[in-house]
Amino acid sequence: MDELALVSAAKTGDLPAFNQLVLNYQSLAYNVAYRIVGEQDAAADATQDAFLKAYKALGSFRGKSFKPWLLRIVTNTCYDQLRAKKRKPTTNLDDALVNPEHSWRWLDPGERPEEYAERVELGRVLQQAIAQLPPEQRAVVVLSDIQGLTYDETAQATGVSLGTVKSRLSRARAKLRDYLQEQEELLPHRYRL
Amino acid sequence: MTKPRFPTRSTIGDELLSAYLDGQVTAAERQRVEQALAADAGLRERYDALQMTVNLLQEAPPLRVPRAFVLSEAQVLAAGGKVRGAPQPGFFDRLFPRLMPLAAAASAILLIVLLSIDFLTGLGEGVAAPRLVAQKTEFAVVPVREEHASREMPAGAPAAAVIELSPEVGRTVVVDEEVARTALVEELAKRESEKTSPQAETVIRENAMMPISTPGAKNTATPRPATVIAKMSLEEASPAATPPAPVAEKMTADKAEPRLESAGASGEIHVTESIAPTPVVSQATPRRGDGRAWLRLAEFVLALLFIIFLAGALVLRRRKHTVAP
Repeated sequence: MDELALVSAAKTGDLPAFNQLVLNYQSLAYNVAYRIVGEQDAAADATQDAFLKAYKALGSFRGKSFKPWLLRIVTNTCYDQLRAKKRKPTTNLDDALVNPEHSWRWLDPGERPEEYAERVELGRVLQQAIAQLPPEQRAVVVLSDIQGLTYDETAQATGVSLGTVKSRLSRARAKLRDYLQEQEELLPHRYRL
Repeated sequence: MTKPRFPTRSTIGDELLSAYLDGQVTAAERQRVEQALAADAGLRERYDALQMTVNLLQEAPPLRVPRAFVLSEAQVLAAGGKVRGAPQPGFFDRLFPRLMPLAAAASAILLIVLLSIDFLTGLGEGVAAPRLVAQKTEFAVVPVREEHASREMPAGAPAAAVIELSPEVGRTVVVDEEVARTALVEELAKRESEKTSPQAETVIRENAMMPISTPGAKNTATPRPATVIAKMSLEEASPAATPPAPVAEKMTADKAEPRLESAGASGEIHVTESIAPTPVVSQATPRRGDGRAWLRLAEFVLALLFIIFLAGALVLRRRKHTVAP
């Protein structure tokens, strides 16, 4: 069953059809949420909330592409979480570290352990760099550069114009470049700028 | 001032470089950027660093999802969603979660209103109480000090009134002269106005059956629980304005008002009155007391309802957020 057929079925209250969409997009949604909120537990909560909101809001889905529509709900839920966290700041050192049980995904079965370790280290430093950005720039750079969405899809997912996407993306990239050059010693050798 | 990281003479900014990197530029912009990159080493360095940053971001490893995020029927229903084939929540199931917080808020507002009324009327009573009680009850609230019934007022004492109570009460209440005078004058006026009312007639009829109370014979009269003999000593009592000798009159059915009598030379004014306890006391406070009791009951019930509604709202809210996936 293709994506739009699943969406149509889910609109009529077919929960298994929607759960099929959940399985297709949960990794993307969770990774976007993690990059934006910066904590694994908060990212899991945001992802779950976003899927629930998406199911309830399916009636308002009129587009052709489910992915940017879903990601818009995910980013908005993340913004809500960040606002809530700002109101009630809590310091949880465990959240700042990546839980080994939910560790980085092994992308390539042929990847050697040391390469994997370097990539994990890169992921950690990048997350620190991304955390320096304002949430709006964070969302754009995560969607566009990390998740590979086009400018159009990023604009849809963040609810802003194409021009705003371009300017936010360029500012975010410039800040990340400066940060990574300042913290070059933290990067694995083969990733240094 | 810090040294620029990428010294360049070019006017091309990061936004155009970033768009060029993604191929999101017009042909004219592309040509301009390429010419600048060829001519300016600093700009090229800046561009290379930007490209490297984007490459690093693309290499960022994804996280494994900690669990499946599939939705359960219970989750969807608790959040107010619909699931085909699942029993839909009834009217009251849907209404209750919305009604509970509203009911809690309404009961809280009503409670505040009632408490305000209670507080404000309480203030009013607090001011009016001394005069009311001094007029009507044996246990005067207005005394300046209390003395034993047998104690004599010293001659030349400052203007003060002594109200002697019945032997059962066994005490004399010394009140401020002005308060006592006001109380007596008001009592007289009130008795005059109530003369024709059935309740007053009852009192009068009962009073007519009571023994005569006189200043001299007050201790010999048969003690009755509610008999109040008020005796006011006034240093400045004018003999010309009052009869020369103490007078005690038997109260009859048509003369049942309290009497203000002067002792003349002794400077005493005697007020002799017999008041049946129940009717008189019940005129002073009971209606107001009943209202207050109802008010208190309403406050208690509202407070209880507020707690129930609030607890219900919190439980429903908690259940909505903790439905197992």
